[in-house]
Amino acid sequence: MGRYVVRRLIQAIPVLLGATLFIFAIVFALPGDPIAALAGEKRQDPNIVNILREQYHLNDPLLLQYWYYISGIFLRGDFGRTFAGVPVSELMAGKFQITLNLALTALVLEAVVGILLGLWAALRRGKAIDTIILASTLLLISVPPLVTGFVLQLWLGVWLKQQVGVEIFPIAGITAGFKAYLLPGFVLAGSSIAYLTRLTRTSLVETLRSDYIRTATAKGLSRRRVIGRHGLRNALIPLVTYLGADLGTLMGGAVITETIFNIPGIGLQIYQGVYLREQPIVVGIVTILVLVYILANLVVDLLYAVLDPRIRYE
Amino acid sequence: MRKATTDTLPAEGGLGNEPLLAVEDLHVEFHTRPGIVRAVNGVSYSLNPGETLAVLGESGSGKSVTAQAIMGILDMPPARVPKGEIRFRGTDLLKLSDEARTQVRGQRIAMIFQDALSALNPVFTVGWQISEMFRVHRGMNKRDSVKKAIELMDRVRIPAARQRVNDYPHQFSGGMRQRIMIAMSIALDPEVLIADEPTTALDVTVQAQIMELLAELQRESNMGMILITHDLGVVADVADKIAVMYGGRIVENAPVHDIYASPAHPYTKGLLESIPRVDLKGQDLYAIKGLPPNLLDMPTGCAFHPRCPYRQDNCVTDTPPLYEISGTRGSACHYWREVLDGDQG
Amino acid sequence: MSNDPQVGPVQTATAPPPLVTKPKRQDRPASLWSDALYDLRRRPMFIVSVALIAILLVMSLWPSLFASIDPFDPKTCELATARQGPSAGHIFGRDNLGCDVYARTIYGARNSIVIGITTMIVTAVIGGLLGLIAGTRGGAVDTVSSRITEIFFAIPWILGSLLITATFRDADLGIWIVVIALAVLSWPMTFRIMRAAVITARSQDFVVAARALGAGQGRIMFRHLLPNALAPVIVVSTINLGGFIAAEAALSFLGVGVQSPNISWGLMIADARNRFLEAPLPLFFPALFLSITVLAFIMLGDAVRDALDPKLR
Repeated sequence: MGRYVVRRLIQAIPVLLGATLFIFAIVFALPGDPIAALAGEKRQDPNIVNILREQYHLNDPLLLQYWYYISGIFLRGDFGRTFAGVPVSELMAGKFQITLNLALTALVLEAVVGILLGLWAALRRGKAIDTIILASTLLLISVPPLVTGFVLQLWLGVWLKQQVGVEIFPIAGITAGFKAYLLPGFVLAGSSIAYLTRLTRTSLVETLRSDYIRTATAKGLSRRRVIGRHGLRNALIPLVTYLGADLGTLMGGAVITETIFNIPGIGLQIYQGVYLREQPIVVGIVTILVLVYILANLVVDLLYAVLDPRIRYE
Repeated sequence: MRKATTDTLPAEGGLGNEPLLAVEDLHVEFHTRPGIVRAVNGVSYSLNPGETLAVLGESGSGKSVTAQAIMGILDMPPARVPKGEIRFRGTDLLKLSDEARTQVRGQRIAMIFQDALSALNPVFTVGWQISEMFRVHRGMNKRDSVKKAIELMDRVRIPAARQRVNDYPHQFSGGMRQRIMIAMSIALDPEVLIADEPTTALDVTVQAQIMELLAELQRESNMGMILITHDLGVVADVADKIAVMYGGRIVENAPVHDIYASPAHPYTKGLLESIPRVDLKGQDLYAIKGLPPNLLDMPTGCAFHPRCPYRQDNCVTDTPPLYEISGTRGSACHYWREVLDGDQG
Repeated sequence: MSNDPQVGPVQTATAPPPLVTKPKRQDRPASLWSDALYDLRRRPMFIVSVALIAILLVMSLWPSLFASIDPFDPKTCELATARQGPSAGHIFGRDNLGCDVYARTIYGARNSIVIGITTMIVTAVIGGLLGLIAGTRGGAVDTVSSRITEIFFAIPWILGSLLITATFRDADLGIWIVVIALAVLSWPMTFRIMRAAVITARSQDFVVAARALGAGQGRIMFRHLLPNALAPVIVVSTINLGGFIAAEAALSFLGVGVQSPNISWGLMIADARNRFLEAPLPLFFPALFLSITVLAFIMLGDAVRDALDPKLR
C-alpha cells in the first residue's frame, strides 16, 4: 500500500508541472503590456516601468519566469501579486471556498441523484422506467448549463416564487446561504448526473452478470442481499473513481454557472481576470484548479485501492 | 408457467422409496433473439444419498443447464421450464415459492463452479465469504462464524487456515481457491452437492487432489453428489453411475463399470475411444467426426445421426427413446444391441 | 471458458448461446459496418437525429431559405421596437436592439455547425493519428505521448479554452480561434480511445499473423489496425461534436468566442440575459435551438455507439 501511494505521488509530479507550464506559457503569450495597461492613458517614466518589469520578472526568459512562479507557490504558498499589488492568494482565499461549496453541492446532488437513478434503471432493466430514465439522461446531457441555468432561474426562481409567495431558490448571489447553492449546484451537476446515472446502470448490470453473483445466489442468499451486498460493493468501485475525478471538472465548469448566477467565486474571478488581462490572477486560479484535479485523482486512486483489494496488494 | 406454488419445505429424515433427488422429464428453453434454444429436452435422472452421479457431455449438451435448473439459478426470462419436475425428497422444487426455494439453495443443495477465481467475490475476504453462510442462515455472530470458517478451511486442508482467513481470493492459488469454494458449499452440510466441472480450470496434479477431497467429504457426510464434467478420465474413480448427455438429452445412463466395459451408445463409445491409452501407444487416437449440434437447428430424429457410424435411415426420422437395456441401464440408440456387440465403429 | 449456455442469475436475453453458429454473417470488418447500418436504420433515435441534423445543415448552408429577413442588415433592426413580443413578421419577437430574433436564430446555426464539425474533424484526425502511432509503436513513443495527454486532462476544459481564446482574441482569427482552443484541449480524448483500440487490435491473431508474414509497420497500421480501431473513435467523435457545439456557445456567452457582429446562439443568450426576466423570448429561442442541435448530435452518437458496440449499452 505504501509503495502504491508513493508511486502515485511521483506520477502526479510531471502532470502538475506540465499542466502549469502549459497555462503559464499561454498566458505569457497574452498580447499587450500589463505595465502599460496599469498606467492607463498616462505617460510612464521608463525607469519605473523597468523596475516594475524587474519586479515581476517580465524581462526574464519564459522558463525562468515559470521557475520563479512555481517555486514560489510550493515553497512559500505565494501565487504572486496582481498588478495592483494585492497577493493573488489573498484574493483567491474566500472565493475558492465559495466555488468549493458550489462544486461540493453539485457533487453531492450528482452522487445522490445519479446513483439512485442508475440503480433504479439497472434493477428495472428493459422496463418502462428504465427507458424513461435513459431518455432523461439524454436530455440532461444535451441541454447545456447555459440553457438550464436561465430556464431554471425563470421557472424555479421567478415563477415558483410568484406562485408560493416565498423565495425557495434564490437566483443570484450567495447572501441566502446554503439554499443559494442549490439551483446553481444542480445546473453545474447537470450532465454529470446523467453520465453517473448511465455509469451506475452499466456498472450494476455488468456486475450482476458476473460469476460471483451466481455464487451468491447459489449460497441461498436473498436477492436483496445478493444485489445489496455482493453486487453493489463491486459496482460502486468505478463510480467512486468517476465522482472523484469529477470534482475537478465541476470546479472548472463553475465559470459558466457562477456567471449566470452571479456567484462571487473563482469562476467569476477568472472571467474578470481574463477581461482585465490580469495574468497572475488567471494563472493562479487555473493552477489551483489543476492542483485540485490532481489531488482529487490521487485521493480517488487511494480510495480505489481501499475498495478493490486486487489493487492494494499488487 | 406454473402458478401454484407452495411453501412446504422438503421433509428431512427418511426417504422411503423416493430417491434423494429426481429429475423427471425436464425441459429448459431460452428465448433469445435468433430464436428459442431448447437446451434441455426431457432429461431424467436420480440420485441417492452417498451416491455420485457423473453427468458427462460436451459443451452445449445441456448438462450445466440441468444443474442450474436444479439449483434454481437460471435467470427467467430468458430461461423457461415448460415441462418437467425436480423432486427433492419428494417435493417438486419447481412448485416451491421463491422464499422456500431460497431456503433449499445453499443449505440443502449446494453447488461449486468451474472457475473459482471468478466465482468468488473479489472484494471480500475468503473468511467473510465462508462465514457468511453461518451468519445469514444460522444467525451466528461474527466471531463464531469466522471460527467455523477456519474449521472448514482446515477441513478442506488449506494450510495455515487461521492466518489466511482474512486473505482475498486473488491471493490464493487455483487449487486453494477451489478448496475455498468447496468449503463454502459444504458449510451447512448439504444433502446434495453439485460440482460443475470442478477441476477443469486446474492443473492435472491439482485435479486429482480436488477429486480426492470431494470423494472424502462425500464419504464423511453421505451426501449425494452430481459431478458435471466433459472428462471421462475424471469420472471412473469417483462416480457410481454415469449419465451421458448429447443435444439436451440423456443418450445413455448406466453404472460406471458397465459403461467402461461396454458402452451402449455410439456417442459414449466414441468418447471412450478418444481417451488416450497407454496400451494402445503408437496408434492413431480416435476422434468423433463432425461438430456438436446447433441448438437452434437441431438435426431431425436422433441428434447424433450426422456424426454416427451406426446410422441407418430411421435415425434421421425417428427420435430414439431411452431404451431400457437392464434395470439400471438405458440407451437412446435404435441400434444399441449392435453397439453393445461392437459391430462396426 | 466453457461453451455451455451457462446462464447465470442475470443474463441478457440478447446474448445468443455460443454454440449457435451465426447464419451468413462473417467476422469481417465490412460486415460490422453493414450490420451497424442495418441496425441503425431501424432505430427511431437514429432517424430523428439524422432528420434534425439534415435540417440544421440546410439551415446553416442556406439560411435565407428559412428567414426572409437578413439579420446582418442593420436596417432590419428598430430600437424603438426592442423586446417586442411575437408578431406577424417577427414570430419570435425582437431582441434588445429591436432585431428579429427568428432570423438571428436561424443564421446562428451556421457558426455552431461549422465550429462543431471542424473541431470534430481536427480532433479526430490529430488525436486519432497520434493514438494510432502511439498504439502501434508502443515503447517510449507511447509512454511520452500518454504522459502528455495526462497533462491536458488535468486542465479544466472550459478554463483552458477560455485562456486560449482570451489570449488570442486580438489576433483576429475570427471563429477559428474557437476551433483551435477546443481542439488543443480535446484531442487527448480521441487519442486515448484510438490508442486503447489499437492496442487491443494489435494483439489479435490476424495482426500477429500479418506481422509474422512480414507486413511493414505502415501496412499493419493502416490496413489492419486502423479499420479495427475506427469504430470507437467515430462514436466518441460524434458524441463530442454535441459537446463542441455547447462549448462554442459557452465561450461566446463568456465573450471570448464568436464576436459581434457575427451571430452565435451563445452570443444571443449573452445579449439577452440582462433583460431576460422581463423579456425571456430573445434568450429562450437561441437556447432552444442550441439544445436541440446538441441533442441531435448526442442522439446520433448514442445510436451509432449502440449499433457498433452493443456491449457498451
